[in-house]
Amino acid sequence: MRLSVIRSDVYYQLRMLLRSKGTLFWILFFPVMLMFLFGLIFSNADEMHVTMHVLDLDDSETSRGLVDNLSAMDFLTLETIPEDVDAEDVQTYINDNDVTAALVIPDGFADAVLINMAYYMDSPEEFNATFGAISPTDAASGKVPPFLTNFTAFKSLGAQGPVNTTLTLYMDESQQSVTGVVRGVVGGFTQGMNMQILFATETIYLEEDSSSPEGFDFIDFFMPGVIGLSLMQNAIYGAILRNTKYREMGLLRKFSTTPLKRTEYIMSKMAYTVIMGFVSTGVIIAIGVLAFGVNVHINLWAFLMIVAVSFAFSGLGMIISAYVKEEETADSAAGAITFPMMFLAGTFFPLEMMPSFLSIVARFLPLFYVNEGLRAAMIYNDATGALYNTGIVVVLAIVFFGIGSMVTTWKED
Amino acid sequence: MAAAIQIRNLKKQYGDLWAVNNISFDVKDGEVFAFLGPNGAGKTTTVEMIETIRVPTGGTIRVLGKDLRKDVEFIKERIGVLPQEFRSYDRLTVRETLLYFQAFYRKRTDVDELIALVNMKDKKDELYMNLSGGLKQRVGIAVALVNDPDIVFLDEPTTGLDPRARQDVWKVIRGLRSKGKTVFLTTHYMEEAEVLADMVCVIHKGNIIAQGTVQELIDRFGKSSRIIIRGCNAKRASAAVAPLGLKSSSPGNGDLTIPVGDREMVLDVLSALKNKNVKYRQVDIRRPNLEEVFLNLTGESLTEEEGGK
Repeated sequence: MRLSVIRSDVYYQLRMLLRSKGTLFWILFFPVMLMFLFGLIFSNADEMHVTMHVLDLDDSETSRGLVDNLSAMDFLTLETIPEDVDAEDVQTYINDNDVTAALVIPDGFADAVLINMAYYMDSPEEFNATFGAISPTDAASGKVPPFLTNFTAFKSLGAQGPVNTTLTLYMDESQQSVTGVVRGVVGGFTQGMNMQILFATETIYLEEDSSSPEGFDFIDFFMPGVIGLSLMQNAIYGAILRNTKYREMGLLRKFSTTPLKRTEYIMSKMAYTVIMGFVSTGVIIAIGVLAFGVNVHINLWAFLMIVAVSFAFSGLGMIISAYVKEEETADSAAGAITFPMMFLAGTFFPLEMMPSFLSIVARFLPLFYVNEGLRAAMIYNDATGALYNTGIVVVLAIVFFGIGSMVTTWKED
Repeated sequence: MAAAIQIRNLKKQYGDLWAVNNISFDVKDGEVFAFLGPNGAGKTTTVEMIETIRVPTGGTIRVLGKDLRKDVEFIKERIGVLPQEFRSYDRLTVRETLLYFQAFYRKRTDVDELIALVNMKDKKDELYMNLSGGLKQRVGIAVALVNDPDIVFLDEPTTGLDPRARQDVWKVIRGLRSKGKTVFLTTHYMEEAEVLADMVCVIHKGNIIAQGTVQELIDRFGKSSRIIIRGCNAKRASAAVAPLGLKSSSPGNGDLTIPVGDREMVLDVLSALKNKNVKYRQVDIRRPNLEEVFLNLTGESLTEEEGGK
């Protein structure tokens, strides 16, 4: 193997690349575009805004209190449905006005709340805790309704037993993210009111914190995925281009008549692929750091992974194009392999978001280990995870590249 | 002269088909050797076996005195090949293309001299993709010369070129000959072989059916020359030459075709016409050519487009 030959080949390939705007776009700007697109979409996820329409048929102090509490949520905007719309017309109103979420508070809601409170109240202490001690003067003055003057009077309200009242929530199920939020919020409020009515004391508290130790965002998850994806695409399509288009151009036949060795040729193409891998990784990291503040760890594992991925997927491309000789057909074959892999291997979304059998499928996909390994190395700085996944990709690289090199031939039959 | 290439009992089989069927021939040092035959005759299969692109089913190939199977690296350093329908990298300039391929070889020639040889000085910094078909072919020939090879293989170098571009390529090939290179040319244009070749080898269905210089082939396999009397009364003219023992034929458009074995007969024909006072517009004399040789050898036309003529 002559280094001068490899150097010359790499040099002219880079020259050609700089003259090809189309290839430059796919290698460099496509991953950048992906970064910005997904980065911006998901970095705004927690700033979601929901408009909910409310029809308050009860129009009582209690129902207005509920509406006020809901409108205090800053991601929720409440709109009142006009009073002339009654319970039967709500569905029509929703359809006509393109409403995503609507809450209907039934007539008699406040009364039901009071009756149930009275039914479940057990002692004067609970009465005082809820309504405060009512002084005899106030009671006598008529400022408070007679049933609120003391526990016994209040308790008699619930003598007939508890009454059910139903809040109705209308939601557009096609907007899953919105319905999820609304269901959660309104559900939380009704739950809270039920607790108050039952005089339950909160004993279990829920506190939220980020599950990732350094406070990782979606972009931290996503960036290594974009790197893995573009490494895979560059390697596999590059190998296919060389083995199909170059064959059709007569270049491979020409090479076989020269002293150029197949190993020299393959190694120079690999050197080029690895260089391009580092360039595109560098560009993606630069966007991640500068535009989205990703905290990246540069280490040996990441370095090794980039080399291994380039070899593994170049090998896969060589295998494909050894059997599928036409450029376009080989491209489609590569697409059929990489496109599903892109989604199933956890490039854009964590596997936890998928049905469990798909996460088993993912474990058979090379890109899965690439993504996991790059995340472990670059983001979580987790040496064990990086070592394990990089090891798997290195083994895949040896197998794929070995077979690919064996089945790639310049000779004609 | 020594044999630059020596082929013995060369065979290539594809399934049941013998694409090259036990052929033997020599190419002498310094000659332009034309391998002539219609598409599918086995030309490219043969030349690609010599160029190390294809592996023969049987037989031996010796190039520059070395066995191709044993000394392939030695041979690769000393041959230059323009494969059939070769295209180079779109986004390298002419000069860069030559430098790129030159890096593969130990022996290297001066690239700028090469550019001059193919008459492309003013195009040397042009990208390959922006060149016309004829210029691309000339770059291909130049690429085949970057190692100053002893033998140059040109596989159908003018296929698809317009007449003007073809002439330019021919000029380059003549230049190679004058530099003493052995040129192995495959073509299905008989005119190309006639104009360029010192030696012509005719291949048909995997077999060599004739070999010799152009003149030898025409003498052996060409029919007689023909005299065509144009714009005459064919009946009267035919009667006038009949005493000479010549059979003539007319398509009925006032032309009369008279095959003559000997070119000396031309004068006899013309004086016979004059004696009988036969008027005519002009006289054409047609020499037999390789196309006719091929037609006589195989009963088939050499090329489809020329078959109609």
